[in-house]
Amino acid sequence: MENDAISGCLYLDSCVLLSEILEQNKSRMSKFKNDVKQYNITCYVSQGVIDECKEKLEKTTDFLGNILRDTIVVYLEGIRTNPRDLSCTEPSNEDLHIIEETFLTVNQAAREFDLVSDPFQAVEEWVVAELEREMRKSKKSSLSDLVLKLTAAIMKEINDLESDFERIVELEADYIIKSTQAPCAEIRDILVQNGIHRPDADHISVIESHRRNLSGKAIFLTFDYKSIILRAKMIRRLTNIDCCDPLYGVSYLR
Amino acid sequence: MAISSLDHPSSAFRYALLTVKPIPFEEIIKVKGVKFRQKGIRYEPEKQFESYEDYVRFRYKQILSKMPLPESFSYEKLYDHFCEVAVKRFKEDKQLQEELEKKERSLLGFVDFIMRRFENKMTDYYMSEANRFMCSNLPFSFFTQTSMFINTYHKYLSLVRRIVRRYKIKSNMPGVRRRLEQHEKELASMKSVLSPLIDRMDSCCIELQSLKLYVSIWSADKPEEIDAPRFLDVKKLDQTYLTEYNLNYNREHMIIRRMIFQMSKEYDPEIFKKEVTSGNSTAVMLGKLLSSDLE
Repeated sequence: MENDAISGCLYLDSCVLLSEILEQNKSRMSKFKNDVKQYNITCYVSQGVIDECKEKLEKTTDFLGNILRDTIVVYLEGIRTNPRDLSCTEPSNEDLHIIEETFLTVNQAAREFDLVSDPFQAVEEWVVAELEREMRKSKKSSLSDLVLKLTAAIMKEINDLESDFERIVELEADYIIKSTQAPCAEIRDILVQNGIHRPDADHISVIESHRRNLSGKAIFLTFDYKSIILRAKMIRRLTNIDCCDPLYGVSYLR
Repeated sequence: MAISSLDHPSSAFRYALLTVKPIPFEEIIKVKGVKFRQKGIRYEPEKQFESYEDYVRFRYKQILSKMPLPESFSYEKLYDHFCEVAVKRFKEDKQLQEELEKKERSLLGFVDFIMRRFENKMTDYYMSEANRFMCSNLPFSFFTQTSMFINTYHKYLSLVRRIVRRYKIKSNMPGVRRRLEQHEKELASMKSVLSPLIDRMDSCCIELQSLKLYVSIWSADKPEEIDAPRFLDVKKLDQTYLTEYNLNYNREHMIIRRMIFQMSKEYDPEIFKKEVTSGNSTAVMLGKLLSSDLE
């Protein structure tokens, strides 16, 4: 039993928090949550992480809005072809080619460099799938109604997401608690000087404030391999702070 | 969502749930030709409720008195216009009036009607917000903030329903059913729970309505366009006022959501259940975007 004794707490990065809300990284999150439940581990999120999530959500919302209103609709209305009234036009195969051209144009740079994480791709795949779904219907909506339906669907989804975020974080209705610890400037500066992004450095340095003010072990959990986990040894050497994937969180508290 | 469409449920709940008193009744009913004496409780207005017109006038006075108006717009004309539209819509809403009559027999039935009607129109409300976004140059996040009210209102209705349902169960318990005093006690207890909730929701509705009206009024080229401006133009809005209206709405919105959350713990924790469903294609797309770098 001694080997199974657990002490300390966990701090979650924004990607872990968003995975919880969006049900991403399901198997890892499920194992992590089982550990939290089994060992009754306290999980914190810092104010910086909360603000980062909110900012990401707002940026994503406005990015989507711009693509829908200022790009897709403009192209469908015929900026490159003959102007047409979308309220009396049913979706057709031709529109798929317009969408193809839209994304080729607006996303030329990303396509040239063959970016895998290109955010436009996710929207492009979704729009094409929705357009094809509508084309298969016997009673089709007009293009303007379809655009409105898609916009309304995104709005509702964003609202659901905001509601879940509020429930889990602001209202602390699940297993996550808001931390009152501020970033530790000393540790943050060391991390920034060694190439860690300022926001990540802020989030990680909260662990040091926690240790100083509340004592006890605290581990930083993230899915960010590129910026954090692949540099975990360096971070540990410089700050004595452990950063790991949620899958291994409990092992650092044992 | 039409700007004034929320006048009904808000004022209707105040009228239908907070200003009623239980009255015992006895009537003869016929079942398969056999006469039965039926005893029960029905609800009557506790006092002379102010007319719907008075309520609407009070509401718009509250909103417009603080609002800056373009020079070419007259406060009196706008005020009369909004009140007229709201009253006309109410008078034409025969279904609501029928249900208000029926509420004499069942408060829960009335809440169910309001809730059913809201749920049936939820998609339309989102479509209306989407349309406002498409006919504007305001950011999408502005509209997702205002559409969040739809989510909140749904939770509010679920909570009101739970509270009224609990009252109904308690007042139908053996020994209470026919005792007027017990009924009055239970009704008073229900009102004391509902009253602060309805007040808070009213404050939030006022702030949302103010924000939407401010944007519509200043985007309209002429007074006749106010109900449906052709384009909601951010360039025509004073950023100081817009920020203030936004902050006021967000503050009231946060307060009512927290209130609903706290009360739902006692009445129905499921009201704040998880809402994002992972299989849905829009959620998948959103998830991918949130995981990508939007710099």
